[in-house]
Amino acid sequence: MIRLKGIKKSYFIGERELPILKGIDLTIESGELVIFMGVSGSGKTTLMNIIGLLDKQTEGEYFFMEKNVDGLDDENLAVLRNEYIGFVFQQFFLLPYLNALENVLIPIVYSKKNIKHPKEKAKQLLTRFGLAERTHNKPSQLSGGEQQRVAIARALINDPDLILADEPTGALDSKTGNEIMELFRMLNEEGKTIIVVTHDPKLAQFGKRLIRIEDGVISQDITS
Amino acid sequence: MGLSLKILQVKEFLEETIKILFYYKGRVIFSLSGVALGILSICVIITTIDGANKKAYEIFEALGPDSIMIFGGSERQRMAREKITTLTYEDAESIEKINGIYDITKAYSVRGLTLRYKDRKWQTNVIGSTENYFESYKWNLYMGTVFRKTDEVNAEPVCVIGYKVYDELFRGEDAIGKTIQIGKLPAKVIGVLQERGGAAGGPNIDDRVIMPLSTVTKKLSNEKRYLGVLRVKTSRDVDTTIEDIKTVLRRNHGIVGDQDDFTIRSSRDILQFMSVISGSLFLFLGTASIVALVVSGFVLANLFYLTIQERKKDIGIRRAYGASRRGILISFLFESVLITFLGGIMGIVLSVLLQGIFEKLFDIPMEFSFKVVVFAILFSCLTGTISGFKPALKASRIEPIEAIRG
Repeated sequence: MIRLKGIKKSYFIGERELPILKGIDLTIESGELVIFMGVSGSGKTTLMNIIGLLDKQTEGEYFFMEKNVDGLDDENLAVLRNEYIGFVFQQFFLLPYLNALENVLIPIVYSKKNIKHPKEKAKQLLTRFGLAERTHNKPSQLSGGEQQRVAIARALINDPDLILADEPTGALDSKTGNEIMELFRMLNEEGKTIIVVTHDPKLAQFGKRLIRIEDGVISQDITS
Repeated sequence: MGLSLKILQVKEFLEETIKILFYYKGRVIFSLSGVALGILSICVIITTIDGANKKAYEIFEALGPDSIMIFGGSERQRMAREKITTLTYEDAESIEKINGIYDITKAYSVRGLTLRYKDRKWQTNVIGSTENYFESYKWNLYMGTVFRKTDEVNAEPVCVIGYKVYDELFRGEDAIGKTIQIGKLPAKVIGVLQERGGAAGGPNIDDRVIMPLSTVTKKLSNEKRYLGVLRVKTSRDVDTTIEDIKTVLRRNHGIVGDQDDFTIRSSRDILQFMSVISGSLFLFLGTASIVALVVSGFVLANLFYLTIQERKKDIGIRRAYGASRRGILISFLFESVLITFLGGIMGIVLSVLLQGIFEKLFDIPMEFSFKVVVFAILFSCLTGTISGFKPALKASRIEPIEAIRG
């Protein structure tokens, strides 16, 4: 599903080059549950952004779904993101003026897939995550764990193949965080490819494959 | 792709935008009322000018494009509202002989006479004229009949009253055959004129009484020599006829040079005067409404610009979930146009509500039309597009990772 060849990424501050990723070779197959582990500043989030087609590498090649995506323009990348990828973020990022159900439906507005009865599907997802009674609540009326579950439902509404989660438990207590991770494990068992980016060593146990990133390179890649 | 999905997407998009508007109420209310005021004044301009033009055209039609009016007194004396009588019956006779003139109405009026009927009183001007007055003004009767040549010859005390006078004295009752007191003269009402309505800001043309010329000059005043107004119709070119009339009157009055003691007006002058009025109205109200729209556009653009920082995450999320740059640009632009569109609708509704008040207050007839609605909506959407474009462009240039990192 994902093939990275010699990916390098640098930021330029004036004349000075600041390398973030220093050559990443990585292949992730469909159905994997991968944890990217690394300290802040290791480059793990940048790597996730490149995989998620939100950012572009400075050097190297990226094949997504067996297709080289390096030359694609904004319009085409947006279509790929919408069709194949669901994002989950540390701060949930629900839109404050929409209720839980409407937040789940956001990707549908941009969707070119023919999702049948999206409203019913959104309700089903929320019910499945224990939020049946919360569909009409605004984000401000929901707890952190509830908000993150709404965000996961939003990531799933468009039937993506890949879910990218950046520190999904970072803003939650450890019990709620574990519940969220269990949810990811369950979704993986149903066939979704999942990548979780974290600095928290305790989350390592939830993955089938652990990739450690240190100073812009992969320092360890263990499949259990 | 299924059509039903498309419809759902559009519906979701619209609903979302409306929710955004509700969420950012303060900004929206400011922009909305600014645009509404601008559009309101545009509506007022267009309806007023249309109304004034229609009125002018009606007057023009009623007078006839071929009619010429001749008054006593120079241009300057008339401006000072002095009542000067210089036109004589001999002048009328000479003018009648000019080639092409086929109709002449002589008139002499007495101003500010008190009319009485039962216990009701009304003060108005009494016009003495020839029997062709009604035909010449294409003024039909509401009830009764007009006076004839014999009434003129015998100076009969009969009168035809304007609708306003009828309304004040008779209040809808039958007036025909009733005797009213005009000054000290008892006169029989034989006809009531149809209502014509007041001209913009001018005197009410329905407020008049018409009697045979001889009745007025012999029984209401004692004016044997002079006439007030002559009105003629020509089958020849109006300007040529005016020149001919000038020549005749200068000869009769012994005038050398151009120190005329008379004034000549054609229907065209009236039309020109009306277009000057509506022109200055247009300039004044037009400037006001453009200023209102530009200001509200600026307010909208600035408030919009400020919220973009606040909505960075919103933009980032949408980009991550499949919105392209163009998609963001369109949705922000749509939001701004929706605000001004709603403002425009508000302005239209306001102007319809205020129309009646304006008409009463300023005596300006307003002609509300489909054209006004189209204009108003066009202008409001244009304001939204122009003022929303830069903020929307800024929003679309925000990179998703930059937005999400925050």
